[in-house]
Amino acid sequence: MAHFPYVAANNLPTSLMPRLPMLLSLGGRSVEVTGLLDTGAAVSVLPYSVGLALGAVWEDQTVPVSLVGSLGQFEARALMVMASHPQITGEADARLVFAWTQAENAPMIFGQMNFFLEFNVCFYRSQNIFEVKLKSDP
Amino acid sequence: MLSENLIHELRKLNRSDKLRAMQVLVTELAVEEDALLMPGATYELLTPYGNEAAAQVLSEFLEASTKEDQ
Repeated sequence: MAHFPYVAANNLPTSLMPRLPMLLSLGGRSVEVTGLLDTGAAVSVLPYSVGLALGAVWEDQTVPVSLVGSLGQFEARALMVMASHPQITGEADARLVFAWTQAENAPMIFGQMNFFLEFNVCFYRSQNIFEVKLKSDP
Repeated sequence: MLSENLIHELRKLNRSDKLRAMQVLVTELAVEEDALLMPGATYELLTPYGNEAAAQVLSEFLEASTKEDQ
């Protein structure tokens, strides 16, 4: 079980959130990202720029994903990428599926489908730490 | 003690400096009061709520991709 600190988005202590660094890979390309662990999000969200940095081609993604709410005005498509973190996955990768949105300023979000199906997470907000492990780890 | 002189000086600040002063004070108060909800502070809600239908689409996409790989 790997431990991570809550990270502030700005200098306000109220902006402390469980933000997890991960290495995303697609084909031969990799991008380091930091995503919000969002148990209230039904899907994981991949910002448009991150998908492009991974070499994904929008026109090649054939599964449309209709988002509602704050990202509802932007088109999104399903995109599968591999995710790893040395303290969590070791040498292995986890397969994560994202709603790849065309919104330029969308946040990187790890949501229920399927981040929380692949990883077990414990939040200790009072101590400003959270724990993450692969679902298959004891 | 907040003096009239200090209030006068604060009123002379331009808009961005006033906002900056507010942010500094809100930050100080948040720290002192163990980060409870503060009036005037901005709290960003990032969660894209209500996307269960989109999650179903991704689930089926994931399942189809897994079968392709087998």
